[in-house]
Formats: sequence, structure tokens, C-alpha cells
Amino acid sequence: MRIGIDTGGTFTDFVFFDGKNIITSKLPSTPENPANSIQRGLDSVGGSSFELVHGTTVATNAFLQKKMARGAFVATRGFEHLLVIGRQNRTSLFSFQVKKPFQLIPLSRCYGIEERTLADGTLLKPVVTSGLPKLIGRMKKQGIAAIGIVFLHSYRNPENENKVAGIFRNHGFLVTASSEIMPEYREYERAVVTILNSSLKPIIATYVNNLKSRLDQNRFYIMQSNGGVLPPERIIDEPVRTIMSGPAGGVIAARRFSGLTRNPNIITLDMGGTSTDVSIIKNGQLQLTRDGYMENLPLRIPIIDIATVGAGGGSIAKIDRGGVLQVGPESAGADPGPACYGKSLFPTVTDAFVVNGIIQPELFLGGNMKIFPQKSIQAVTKIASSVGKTLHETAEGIIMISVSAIEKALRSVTLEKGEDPRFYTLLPFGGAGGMVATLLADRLGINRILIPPYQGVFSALGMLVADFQKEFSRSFLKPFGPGISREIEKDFSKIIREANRVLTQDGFSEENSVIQMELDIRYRGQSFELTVPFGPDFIQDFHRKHDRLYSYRLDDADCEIVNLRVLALGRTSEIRIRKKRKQSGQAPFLDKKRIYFNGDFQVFYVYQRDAIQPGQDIRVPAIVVSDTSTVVVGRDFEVRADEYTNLILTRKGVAE
Amino acid sequence: MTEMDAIQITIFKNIFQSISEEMGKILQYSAFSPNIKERKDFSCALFTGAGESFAFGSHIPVHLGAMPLSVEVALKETQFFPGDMVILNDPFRGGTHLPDITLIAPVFYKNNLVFFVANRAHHSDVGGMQAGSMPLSSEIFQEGIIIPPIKILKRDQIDQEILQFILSNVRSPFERKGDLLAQIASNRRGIARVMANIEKYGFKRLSRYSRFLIDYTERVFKSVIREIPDGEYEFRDFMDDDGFGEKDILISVKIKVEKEKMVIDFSGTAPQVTGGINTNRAVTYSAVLYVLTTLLEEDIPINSGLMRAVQLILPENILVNASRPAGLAGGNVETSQRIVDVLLGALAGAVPDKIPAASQGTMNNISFGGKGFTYYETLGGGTGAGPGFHGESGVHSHMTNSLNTPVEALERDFPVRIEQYALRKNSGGKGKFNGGNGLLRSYRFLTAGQASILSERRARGPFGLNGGGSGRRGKNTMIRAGKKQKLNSKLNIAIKAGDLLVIETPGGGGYGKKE
Repeated sequence: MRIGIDTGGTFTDFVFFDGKNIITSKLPSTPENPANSIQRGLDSVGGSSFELVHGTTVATNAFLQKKMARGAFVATRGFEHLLVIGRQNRTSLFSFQVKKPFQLIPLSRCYGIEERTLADGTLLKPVVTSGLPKLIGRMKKQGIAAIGIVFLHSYRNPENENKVAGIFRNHGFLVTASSEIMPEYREYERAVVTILNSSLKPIIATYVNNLKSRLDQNRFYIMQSNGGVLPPERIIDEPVRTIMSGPAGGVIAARRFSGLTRNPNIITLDMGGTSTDVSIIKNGQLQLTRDGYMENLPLRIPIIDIATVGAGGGSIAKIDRGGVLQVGPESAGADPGPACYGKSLFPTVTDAFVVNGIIQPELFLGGNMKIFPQKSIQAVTKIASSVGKTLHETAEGIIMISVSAIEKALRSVTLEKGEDPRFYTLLPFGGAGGMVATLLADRLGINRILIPPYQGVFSALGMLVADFQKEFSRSFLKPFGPGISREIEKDFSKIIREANRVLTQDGFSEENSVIQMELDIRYRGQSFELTVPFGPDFIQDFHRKHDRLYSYRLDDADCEIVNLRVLALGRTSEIRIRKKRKQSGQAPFLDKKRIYFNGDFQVFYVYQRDAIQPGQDIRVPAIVVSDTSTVVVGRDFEVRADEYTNLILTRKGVAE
Repeated sequence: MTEMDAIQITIFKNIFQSISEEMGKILQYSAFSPNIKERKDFSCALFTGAGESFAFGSHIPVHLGAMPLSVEVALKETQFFPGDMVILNDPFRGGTHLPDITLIAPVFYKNNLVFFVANRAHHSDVGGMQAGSMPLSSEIFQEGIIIPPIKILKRDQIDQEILQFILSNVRSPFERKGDLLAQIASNRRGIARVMANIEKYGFKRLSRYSRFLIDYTERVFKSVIREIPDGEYEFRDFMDDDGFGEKDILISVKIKVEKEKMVIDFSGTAPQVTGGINTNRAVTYSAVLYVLTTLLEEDIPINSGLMRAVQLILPENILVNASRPAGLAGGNVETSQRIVDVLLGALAGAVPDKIPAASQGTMNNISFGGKGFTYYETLGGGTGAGPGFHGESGVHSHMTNSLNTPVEALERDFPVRIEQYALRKNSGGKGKFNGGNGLLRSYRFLTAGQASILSERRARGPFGLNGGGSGRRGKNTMIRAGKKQKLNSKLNIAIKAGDLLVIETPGGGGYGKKE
């Protein structure tokens, strides 16, 4: 049996695959020790042999709550303030109270060591170790558990770093040397990743070991921020790779449905309570970025490229001093929540849906949660009187403002990367995505929307279908020229040997593993690189990609190959999502309701998602309700359920 | 429907913002120089056909007010056709200082010029007497090539003759070409996005809401001025020197607040000086707008609406409104910071519970170059403490927020080694709340060449407020063959291989009496 588990703040979701069928369940989370609810979920199905894939927010939460291990920062002498100085910039341009990003280590635990390596890798000054015993004594007194070491140019020559790391390790410290976790230039960015990694090590180790002891000999994997999974032994060394893994599960599940339905280009849309995440799948591939941020700290490790916007169901509408309606980024959260929860009078996006009839109170969360539509009306009425519009116009305005904010994020993941959203299929998941999907599609010129099943446990399903993935990188920094391919191959062969060793060690046979080689290239003088696959014509690929993204290319300019990257992929056991026999005709509707949509009251057919069989059509306009989500479809779309019970929405008059 | 719709306006604000941000991304990712890519020293904006800005994407406040003035001049001096793009940097015809090169493109709809898109980027080399193009000059001609508003694109084709002419006047033509192409690409993206939105929402609506956004900002800003007590508030402070022997150069401001109107009067400021620390009207305007923007607590669009609420009195030929051929390279970066200091000093008289003590008040501009290379960077310092908070250390303040260049990038690309980059301990002013600490950065030059320094607050430290102490002043030192030599705040200097230049930046002022 294979099991996918997504631990959220409120619920822990389970998806089981027994070789034939997919079974899902939901249990309350146990934040004090997330492993407890996992244990309970496993107990509920019994069975002693399984393979488990797990997305954990232990690292993320330790960072967000600033409860990481007590760490120290060790740098080249003269640069010990590196973490505090950062990039010299402030986070808000126009605030008198100037603030920098969060300081990972206070100055009292930042140390410098005499040593120096130059930009070309030359060792100018071997590391002076005579002062180390004293330093180690001091660190022990400070109660330091984890040490991050960042020496200048160690990506080029890690000798000094390795030497010091070895000494600290011999004294029982958990150590991360920057050249181990991120051998790439730019010292501050490398330092942030190094320190996050070292300070998360003790925390993830405790968690993983606890979980391991409960799972007997069963294999388990943990989700990384890049959408691949790794076994616990490797995660313990590189916990920073899990720090942005929260949204990964849903995107991986979306990729699976992209493959199943032969829609290679997908925009995912996950609208939650306080924010909305969007990302793209292109040619069936997740898009990664090394340009992420967490609370303004740069995170230069590969993460799924997700744009987040502070617009969710709980986003609060208000009138500003210029008399203009604003929605978010403040959110009513889950507590007190939207006005309809009955604990506050915050007019939120959810209340706007309630007011206009898009959320039907008796069907909300499968009827398991009582909501108070009168409170929504009361809250939105206040806003309506200020903007001089009717209640329903105002509610629709609140919805459209949050849609326009999401649209902005969607553009940032598509258009600015040279992609055209009109050629994409929109795939919403999560509770509220289906309520704004057609509105967004209208604004972006999208003609096709795919709404997969398993909405309530979509992220856990993604865990279940994720592959093993380990990244290796090495700085190369040589100009492109005759004979360079041979040099690249030579360096690649070393990395690949290491990658194959890892794959074999972790039990992946040759036919179940894939090695991908990529190059980071730039025009000489540029300081940002583009990543292209290492193929026979990689330089042309680079020129083409540059042209597509930035609308020009420089064929006679010198190109520089900055980093070599190797991606080791291991295919985990295959999960078959089975087709069902198609029926025909129309699905039965539950009810008809008057709903305010697109500036007018219209009669909508109300469907229960579970009652729609593969192959069936539904009448529009419609709302389709399940226990965890609501989908709204205007008159412009036709809807059919496919053989996987995906709802396929196609714009009328557009050829498939 | 000619009335502003309180819902639609937010939707259009998002649309316009997304266009200017996207232009910025294109510029950043495709540019060549570290100054643009790594330090994000650029801005992008959208303008009405009449030249008023309505959406602005920037990391650099000093560009704030100056862009509309560029468009205004281009509009006055040029006859635009579709596919044209105007380039300029002439500070006396729409520019700020020479390194800031602005590209302006018209957007045509049905043969009418309906919008402009523009971007401005700081080029680390525009020729002139000194590598890095931030020299200590005595007239503008020494600072680099002066580009009046001319068309670099005609009918969407680059005018190769003009491009070659510009590139022939700089030390690093390859990098300049890359950056200029990036600026062109950014504007083209802007035009394409504006056109797509015209098609979608109709020109009339788009145009109406661009103007509504300006009205909206004006309205919000006037309500902020109304909250400032009526009265006249004065403040004076000094520039250290102009690098040519003139010291203690006065900047004096009087702010008059009457209901929702603000008059800012710089009469009484010293005449323009020989050394290139003068500012033109555009830069002074930017400093004023920056200060006003900091008073807004809400996230409102920054645009020409701000300018409508303020009247600026700027006599001719003074330090902060100099005329040709005054040198300006340092005014944009140094004097602009002092203008902010005096404006905040004056406002502290009106709203003392809102205004912080002075921040480092300089950008510590360091440039150096030699055979085949030029480099420019700025250094952060301490920021002022304020009511309820300490200052921050080693950070850029007020008119700039550009990133540093990583030591590892700098050492890879230039013959220099950084020996120390650290906080300067105890340099923040003491008080109930302490000012932030300055920085120390030392450069070991590995080859001969030339360097320039443009710095301030080397004579008097940044002032404290309400009884807080001043921040420590900055210090420039050269160690040559083992001998220490204190350097002036502003100079051009020949460097030898082995020289060590040590820059210590000022701390921020303290706030309140220490109990």
C-alpha cells in the first residue's frame, strides 16, 4: 500500500492506494506533534506493509514562529556581520521605521575566522585554526546547537570550509558548510540558505526520527519545495529543502491530471482563506525558480515557482480614506472568520459569495458547518452604503477586486515569462478556486477549465504521486567556446557518478531512474542566468530562450556557463487513477436557485458533485457543490464530466 | 458613466500596477550591468497622453517626481509617431543627472497619442572625466555624454547612428548596449500590455480610470495635509562642502500649511556651487514627493496626483535648482538626501510625534575604474531612531534603496579585493531610542586606476531629535604603503596597486533623551 499524507493546520489528509483503488480520509491535526495524527490515520486502515509520502510543515513552522535551533554563524574574518548587513536594502520604501529582513542569527553569535580564498579558487590564506578551541568553548557556553559556515568563494574551493566544518563536527555540533548545501556564488544568499539549513537540522531530525520509530521498517519519503521527495536520511542533512513544500502537493497532483487528460499546459489556482497560490505547468513540467523569498529573506534553492497573492476567502473589504473599495490583504482568517461564521462583522470575500447566493448556506462544507447569511448581508450592506451601490453590486465588486488581484499574480507567472495564458487550461483546487475560475478565465482569455476530483485531499494525492528527486549543482564559470562541451561532459560525469550512487543507494534501478543535465548560462557581463537542458545545441537553446523571455538575443556576444546542474529522478511505484465507464445524457440537478452573477439575477442549476457521472453533461448556468468546494459556471461555458470524473468546462463556440 | 466607480478604480489600479511591474521585471532580467540587475537602480511608469504619471513601479524614490518632468519635456520638444522612442539624460531638459538614462515611448490608438510608457535606469558609465561617471566635477560637461531628448527608435527601428554615437562616448559600450536594449524591451512590453488592455476594456474607460487614479491620489494626499496643523515650519541644515573649497552650504526650507494646501519654499538656500553637488528642479521635486509619500500611511498609488497638492517655490540658480552648466552628478545622490533631512526637520515642528531623527544623509558613492573596467556602488549607513523605535544599521535610507553588490560578484569581475565589510560599532546616536550603526567597507586595489568618492556627513553627524544625540559622522581613509591619509568627503584620486581605501559611513541620529 502507498499512502500520501498532507499535514495542514486544521486537518491531516490521507490518500491510500492499495494497488487498485484510491481511498481518502481526513483527521484533525495534532500540532503539538504532527506524527500523532499520522499514527492514528495509519492505525485506522491497519496493514503492516506500506510506503508513505509525507508533506511536513515542521521546518516551515519553525521558521515562521522563529523557533529554530540556537545557531551560530561562522564567516571569513571581516565579514562576520554579513547576515545583519544583508543586501543593504530595506523592506519598505516609504516607512520611517526602517526594517531589514528577519535576522537569522544575532550579532553575539556571529564569528569570523582568519582565512581567505580568491574568486578563482586560489587559497590566499589557509584557515588559521589556532583560535578554534577557544571559540568552541565559547559556543558551548552559549548553548549553540547548530553552526553554519560561509567562507568567501567557497563555491570555487571548499578546502577551508571543509577543514573548519570537520573540526566543529568532531566537537559534536551539527554543521552545514555553505559549499555543501549551495555551491554557488553570492555570499549573502548562500549564507541565508546555509543558516536556515543548519538551524533547522536539529528540529527536523527530532521529528523524522520520532516518525521513523513509529513506522517500523516501512519506507517513507518527505516532500521538498521542488516537488520531489527524498527519504528521511537525506532530509535530515538538507531540511531547508522542505521549507516551502506546503503548496507542492497540490501542484504535483495537478501535473498528474495534466498528464491524464492530455492538457500539457496548466495554470493551477489554489484559493484559500488568506491567500491564493498560482503556478504553471508547461509541457507537463513543473516550473521551478531559484528566486524565491520567505519573509523577505532570499531563498536561492529550487522551489516550485508559485506566486502568492493576499486575496482569499477571508480577505476583508474596506473603504479607504479616498472613498475607494479595497479588499485584503488583511484577512479575518479562520477565527473570527468571515461575518457569516457569526463571530464578527468583517465583510469578506466569502460573505460576498454568500450574499449573492454562490455559497448556499445549507450546502456549505457539506452542511456540516452552520453559517449565518444575515450576518453577511449586514456586513456587506455597510460597504454598499459607502460606495453608493446596491447590496448585490457591492458583493460582486468585492469578488471582482479579489479576482483582479489574483489576475495580477497569474500574469506574473505567465506573461512575464513569455507564456500566453490563452493557451493554458485553468485548474482550480482548494475550497474557493472554483468560484472564481470562470471569472479569471474571462479576464485572461482562457477557454478551458479542468476541475479534478479529490478536491478536499488534493495535496495529499499529490504526495502519493510524487517522484524521488535530488538536485546537484556545481559552479563552472567558463566562457563558451570550441571544445567546451567536452569539458562540461567531464565535469558532468563526476556529478552523475555521485547522482547514480545516491539513486542506487536509495533503491532505484536504472530503468526507474532518470538523470537530467542542465546548464545555467548568461551573456558575459550579465549577472542573472537562464537554465537550459544540456543538449547538442544548448547555446542556440539559450539564445532562443533569452529572445523569448526578453525579446532580444545577442548572437555575437560571449556566453558564460555559470553552473552545471544535475537532477536525479527516481520513479516511485506507479499510482493508477482508473478510468470509469462513461454514461451519457444529463446529470440530475438538485435544485434551482436565483443567484446574482455578472450584474444580474439569474436562475442557476444546483448540482451535487458526487451525483455527476462520467460522460454526463450539466445545464448552465450552474453551481456544483461538494463537501469541500463550490464551482460556479456562467452561461458562456459548457460542462461535461470525463472518464476520470473531472469536470471539463469549455467556452462555448471555441473548438476543442 | 463619467463618475468614478469606487470598485472599478481598484480593479484598474491592479491592472496598471501589473503593467509597470512587468516592465520592471523585463528590464531587470535582461539588463547587463550589476547596477540594474543586482541593485535594481531603475523605475518604470505609465503616463497619460498629457504626461501625468498614473502608475509607477520603482525601488528608487529619487526617480519619483522626476519622470513626469522628462515626459513633459519630451512631449514639448518632440513630434511623436507610432514606433518612436525618445532617449534623454540632459538634466536641464528633463533628466536628473547624466547616469540616469530615460526612455520614453508613446502609445498610439487610432492615430492618436493616448499614453506614454517610460523607464529610467542608472547606467554605471556615461563617459566623462572619471570612470563610473560619478566624478567630482565643476561643470556638467565633465560628467559624461549629454543626451537631449532625441529618438533612438523611429518606426520601431533602432537608429544605429544614434546608438553608435552614444556608445562611442562611453568606456564600456558593450554593457551600455545591453542595458539600453533591455530598456527598449521593457518599454515595448509596456506598450503591448497597454494596447491589449485598450482592446479589452476600451480606450475611453482605460483613459478615464488613469485620470481617476490621479484624482484619487490627490484627494487622499490632501486629506493627509489637512491633518497637519496650519502654520509655518522652518528648518536649516548644511552640506559639508562642494569639493572645491566651499564649506557649510546652506539648505533652508519653509513649509507653509494651510488647510489642504502645502507651500514649500527653498528661498534662502545657498546659490549654486562650483562642485557638482547641485540639484535640478526634478531631483528637488523627487525629494519633496518622497517626504510626502512617507506621510501617507495607506497603500495608495504614487502618481502625479501628489504634485497637485503642493506648490514648490524654487528660485533660479540656487543649490537645489541649478542652471546650466552646473555640475550635478553628486546632487542627485547626496544633496537630495539633505533636502529630505531639512524637510523632515521642518515637519518635526508640525507633527513631532511622527518624524524620526536624521538618517545617514549620504549614499557614500564610490566609483573606480582602469583599463577596461568601470565600477560604481553606494554604501548604506545608520538610519534615524524615531518615536518608539531604534534606527536600523547598515542600510540605505530615504532617496535610495539599491542593493549592494555581493563581494563574490565584485571580486570576480573587477581587480579589487574587499578586506572588510562590517558594521561600524557605536556609530548610532544615543537616546531613548538609538540611531542605527554605519558600515565599514575596505577596498584593496589590485591594479592602478582612478577612483572618485562623493560622500557627505563627514563634517557634521546626522542630527538627533527631541534630545537624542547625533550619529557619528563618516570617514574616508586611504592607506598607501602603510601610511594612513584622511581623505576629503569628495574627491577624484589616482590609485596604485596595493592601495587600501577604507570607507566608514555615518550612524543615524538618536531620538528622545536617554533616561
